Amino acid sequence: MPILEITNLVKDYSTGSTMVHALRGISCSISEGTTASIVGKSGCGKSTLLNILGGLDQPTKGLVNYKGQAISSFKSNRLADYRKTEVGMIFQSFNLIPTLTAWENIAMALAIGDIPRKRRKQRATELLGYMGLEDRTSHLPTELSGGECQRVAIARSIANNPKVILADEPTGNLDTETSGQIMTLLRKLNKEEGKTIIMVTHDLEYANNFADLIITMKDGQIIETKEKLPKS
Amino acid sequence: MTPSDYIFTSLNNIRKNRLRSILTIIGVAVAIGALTSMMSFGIGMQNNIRDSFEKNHLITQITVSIDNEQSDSVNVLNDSVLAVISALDGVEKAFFETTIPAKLKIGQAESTTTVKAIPGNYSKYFDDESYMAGGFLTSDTIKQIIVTDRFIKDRIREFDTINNPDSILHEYIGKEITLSAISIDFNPQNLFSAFSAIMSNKLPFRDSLTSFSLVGVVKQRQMNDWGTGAYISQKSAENIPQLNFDNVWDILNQKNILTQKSATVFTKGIRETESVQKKVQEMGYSARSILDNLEEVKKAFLIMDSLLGAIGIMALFIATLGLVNTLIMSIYERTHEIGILKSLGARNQLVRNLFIIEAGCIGFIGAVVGIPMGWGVTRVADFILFSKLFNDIEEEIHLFSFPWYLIIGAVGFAVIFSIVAGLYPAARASRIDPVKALRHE
Repeated sequence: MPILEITNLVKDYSTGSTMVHALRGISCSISEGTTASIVGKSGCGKSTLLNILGGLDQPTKGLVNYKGQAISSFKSNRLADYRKTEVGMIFQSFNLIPTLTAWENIAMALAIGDIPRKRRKQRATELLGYMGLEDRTSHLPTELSGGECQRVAIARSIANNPKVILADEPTGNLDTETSGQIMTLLRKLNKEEGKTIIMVTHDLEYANNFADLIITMKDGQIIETKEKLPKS
Repeated sequence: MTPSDYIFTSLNNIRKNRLRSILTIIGVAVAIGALTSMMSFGIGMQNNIRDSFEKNHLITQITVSIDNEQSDSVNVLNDSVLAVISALDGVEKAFFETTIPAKLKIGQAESTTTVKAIPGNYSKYFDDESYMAGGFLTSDTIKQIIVTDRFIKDRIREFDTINNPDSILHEYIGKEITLSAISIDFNPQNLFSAFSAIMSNKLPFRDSLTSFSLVGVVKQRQMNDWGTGAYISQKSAENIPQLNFDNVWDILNQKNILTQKSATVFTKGIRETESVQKKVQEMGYSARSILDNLEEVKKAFLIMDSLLGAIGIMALFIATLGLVNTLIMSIYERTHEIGILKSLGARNQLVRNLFIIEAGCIGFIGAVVGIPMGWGVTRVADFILFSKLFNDIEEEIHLFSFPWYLIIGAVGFAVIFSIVAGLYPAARASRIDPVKALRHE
């Protein structure tokens, strides 16, 4: 059963006097528990698609269904609740709050998720332990390496136990070795926690190694959808 | 997020932008300091006047008389009316306050003055601070007298010769004072004997002498008792023959005092004065109190308070502009963070609340810093004014007053004003597009 179903999605926006057609009628579906990669050159619309799937942006036209509910027609508050409970987002630039320590960054997501204050530190510590960062809980992002920051960001994205993780170029700012560690971690989340992971990347090798479903985009359209057969 | 989360996050943000936050807080603090010090001046002045009225029992005193201007009003003021007035809610004591023109002799000194007959068992007639020597009448029946300091000092030479006349007042306690009152020495029913007395060149008046023991010396009252030199109990006054008539017909009719001219009512407090005065007026009598004049004074203070308050609010308004500027700058710097919060599922309302509470926190801290500043300024001003300008006044006067309600009100005002100032920046922050915010560096 598809967890996310996209039908004829269009996104236009203007930059001054120019109208940009970021998405030009995209349709596809992603099943629950899948690892999907969206690949394509820079500016092809893959991040725009991810933002719409993450409820950060609204399409100009078309439909996005999450578990049968049209999130593309959600009002602001419902969309915020969708972001809070159903999806977790990971970004290339980590997007950690620089003035908060590792555990406080996670606690902020938990606070937004209305988790009681007493439970937050325990949950944040658990998650950081899962990411192998037990000894970095009280460090500020500036005191952490890129890989550590991304692991904190991953921990934050799963803090409120979402079904779907949306990762926008999660290894874009990392070296090969650290990128490999991050990919392993995402795969672990998929296998052990059953998370549906949708990752935007421009690196075909990562996409091939990681994803069950590879969606290739060009100029705001899907030009190829390749589903890998499960290994026997 | 819980309220404590909002406060924690806001304080964290204030700490993060330390310099700008401190400058904004100083702006709010100066404004609150100015506002509270000005308001405290207004309150202090009002308190001084009210205290002065209270010391003289003016605020709790009502003078009841027959209302001659109202044709339909009742024309009797007697014991039964007094009993009704005494039973009114808020009345502490009601009595007929009679005055006797008399000659007082203490030692060799002799002088005419007005003697007031007061309830001998009502020690609250004078407050404790009024006594310069001795105390109140100890008995309603024993012939005791209280005199004013002015009466005694003006008439006894000894007081002119020493530096501190107040210090020897107590020496006069227990001394005998002879009261001499004029009474009519004629019987209207036996007109013949009266006329024969007049014909023999003898006026039909005589002095009746009564001896009193001095039990207290009180400060001369400034406002409503200017002409009174001494006080005796009503019981003692009953035995003193007096000229109780308005005209000759009163004498010829052998008129007894069936009605009194006026009664004095003491109330339990200022609130009661207002209600008792109203009730007595409803009974058809004229009831006058200082509150009638106080209303005018209150209006004058309201104008003064408004002017002082307006200056303070202007200062606060300027501080508010600083606060709005700080918050808008904060939005600009924290746009990316707002994007992160929204990507984590924060509703617009949450972002708005964060900024509103941050504004409230700045206002609160500003008030906490500003109120002691304002208090300090008033202390210094009080000291300078009292020591330099009013150094000849014996009694210590505080021109400024810092009551609790001013402190709580100032904190509340600063927080509310700051929250109102934060509404626009907060609304602006809440509307930020998360995608654009996340791209913002």
